[in-house]
Amino acid sequence: MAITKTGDQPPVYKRNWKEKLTPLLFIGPHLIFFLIFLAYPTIYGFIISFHNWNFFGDMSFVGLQNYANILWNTDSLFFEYFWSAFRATFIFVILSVPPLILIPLFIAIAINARPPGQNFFRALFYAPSLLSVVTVVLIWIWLLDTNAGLVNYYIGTLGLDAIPWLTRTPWVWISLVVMTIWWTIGTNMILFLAGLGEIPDHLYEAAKIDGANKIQQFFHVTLPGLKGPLAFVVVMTTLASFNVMAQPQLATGGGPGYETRVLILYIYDTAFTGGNPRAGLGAAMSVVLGMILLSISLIQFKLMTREK
Amino acid sequence: MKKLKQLSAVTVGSLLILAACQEPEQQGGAGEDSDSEGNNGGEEVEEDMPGDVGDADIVLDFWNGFTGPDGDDIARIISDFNEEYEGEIAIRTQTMPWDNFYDQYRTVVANNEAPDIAIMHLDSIAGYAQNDTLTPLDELAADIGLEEDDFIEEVWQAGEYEGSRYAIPLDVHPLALYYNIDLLEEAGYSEPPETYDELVEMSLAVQDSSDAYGIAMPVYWPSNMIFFSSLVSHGGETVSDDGMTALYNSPEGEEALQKMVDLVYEHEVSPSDVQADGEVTLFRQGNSAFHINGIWMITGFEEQDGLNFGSAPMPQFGDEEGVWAGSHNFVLPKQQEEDPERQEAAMEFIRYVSENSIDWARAGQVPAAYSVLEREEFQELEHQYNISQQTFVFPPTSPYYGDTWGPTGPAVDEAMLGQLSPEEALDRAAREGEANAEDAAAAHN
Repeated sequence: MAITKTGDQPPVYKRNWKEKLTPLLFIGPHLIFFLIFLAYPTIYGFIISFHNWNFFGDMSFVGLQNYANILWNTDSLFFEYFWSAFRATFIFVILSVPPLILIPLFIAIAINARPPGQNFFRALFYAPSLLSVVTVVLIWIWLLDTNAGLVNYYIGTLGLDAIPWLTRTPWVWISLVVMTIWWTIGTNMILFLAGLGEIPDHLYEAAKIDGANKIQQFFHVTLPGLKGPLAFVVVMTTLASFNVMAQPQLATGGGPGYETRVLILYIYDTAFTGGNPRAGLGAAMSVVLGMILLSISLIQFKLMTREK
Repeated sequence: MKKLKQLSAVTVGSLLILAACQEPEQQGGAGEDSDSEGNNGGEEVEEDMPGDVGDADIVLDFWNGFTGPDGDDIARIISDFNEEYEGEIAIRTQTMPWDNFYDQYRTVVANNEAPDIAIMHLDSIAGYAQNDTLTPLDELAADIGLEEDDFIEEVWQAGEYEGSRYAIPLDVHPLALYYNIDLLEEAGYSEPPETYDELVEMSLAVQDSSDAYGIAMPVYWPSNMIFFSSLVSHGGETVSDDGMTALYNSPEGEEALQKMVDLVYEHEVSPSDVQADGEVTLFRQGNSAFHINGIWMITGFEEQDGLNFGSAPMPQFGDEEGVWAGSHNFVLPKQQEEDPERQEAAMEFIRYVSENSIDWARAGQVPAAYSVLEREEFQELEHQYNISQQTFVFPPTSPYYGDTWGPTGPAVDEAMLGQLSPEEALDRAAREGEANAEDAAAAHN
């Protein structure tokens, strides 16, 4: 008995060992990239945030000074700059996230109803997502030019005054949000379409038999069926909006004044531009922003995937 | 009719979008706070080796940010050089957008992978010298016979930091006045304005005789370079020599900025709310008679169909002469182990380009050397020559200039929009700028 037992064990042990290792082999390649391009820079960035460093000389340790300057040292210029950049980012998120969820959702529902030309519309709405942000912003700058743009030309033919789309609040925000919506609705639309395809038809049939009208079907079948994709889209869109940079950078340069200088743009300016770059301060702001994003995503996921 | 013209111009304009992002116009802004304004030249890094460099004894790496049409002109000069020095010295060029250039420069110098030669903007030199990333050139320059007398004095001096020379100027790129010859003729003028009052008077006349605006004053970049010029023309100063104190929030500064604002709201010779590049569009379309911008716009305007334009010194906004100017400079990045032979070869290249900078002037620049400025060939370059007839004022050579001057960018924007008075705007900029500089200086010590 004892002999057979010991004779059986090694192969069992071997299989376990192999089974455990195989997944690692699949994860391995990605893990290496993850470690080199994400984990290492993140940890290094965290370390930099406790130092003063201009990329040239040695880093000098300053403890929490960088954090103090943006979080509680209210006399600091960087406190003022950081929170004005935070305000700008927050305005953009608040204005852009709802339309970036709702518009693609309704387009997806419309296309999912299989109207004639549905493939054409699907391609049409997705097409701008293929353009680079530079192209998108340049097109919109031309369209929205205060004195020579197409949009103000049509507004002029209606007998209305020219609108300063890219120089004054609130128009700058509207312009930035509109160009972002035009550029990115395609991606969310595709995600919603995939989600809608997963909802079984028999649920709608059952709802119909129970006498539910279209609106009731939307709230009681479509929305619950989209819970997974919706949570994903809401979180990803919020994160993407917090990370906005290129649109204000190219269209308004962060202006007028500091109005549209969003966080990522300010972090970039701080850490990488000018004769005296402040890598430590930039890193500290990135860490704070990262923490904020992490908390927001966690809260959103908790709220949206909560079982009722 | 005018509207129809505008509409078709918009269509034509959209075709120019791609061209616009490659123009060198943005490059003049590098070093200014808004250098990101048009930084959309893409990420590509071009590497090329004009001529045959295969068997040269010394191959030097040369980095620059000439991603626009000017890249072709510098490549032509290098190709000639490589041919002339075949077997001895060869230059291998790397061209990348300026932002990438400055980002990478820090890294490669720290890792001892620095190129042998690089081009840097004048207002960056002090900072990079202070951080010990540039090679002092005093002796090397004397060895190859480059002399102070041969260079425009101000630009030569601007390459010195704390008593040592770190840069050899290649060119000067000042602001200039561009004017639409047809619109001026219609209004009965044959010469461009030389002063602020003439600018206003002629703008009003143009607006009477046509549908065009007199001038289009930009809200964003390069509005604070126009302010720089207006400031020095009013006898004001930008920042103190050590870079730590703002001097622009002075009565002169307020008047200088007020005059810019007045063009929009008081004299009504400029539309308000001219957004990024909006002033360029209006001038290209023939919808504004005057346009203040850098010398780097020449090529773009020459390529514009139907635009009959002239160039001139920027009108004096105050009583004194003086206009903002930047400059591209040769520098030798710091190597951990210096090789005198390579350094000499590099200086030989710099001397060669300097002597042949007439080819560079054709790209739309003013050469920094008198020996080239005084040549007939340069005087035949109509626009470059006209624009060179100004008193250039360069920013003070301090590593903290950018910190103290930078906040004038957003401040001038808001003044141009009428959201802040010139006094409020400049005081705010000064407060921010000095805090910036103080922090930077503290971090350095």
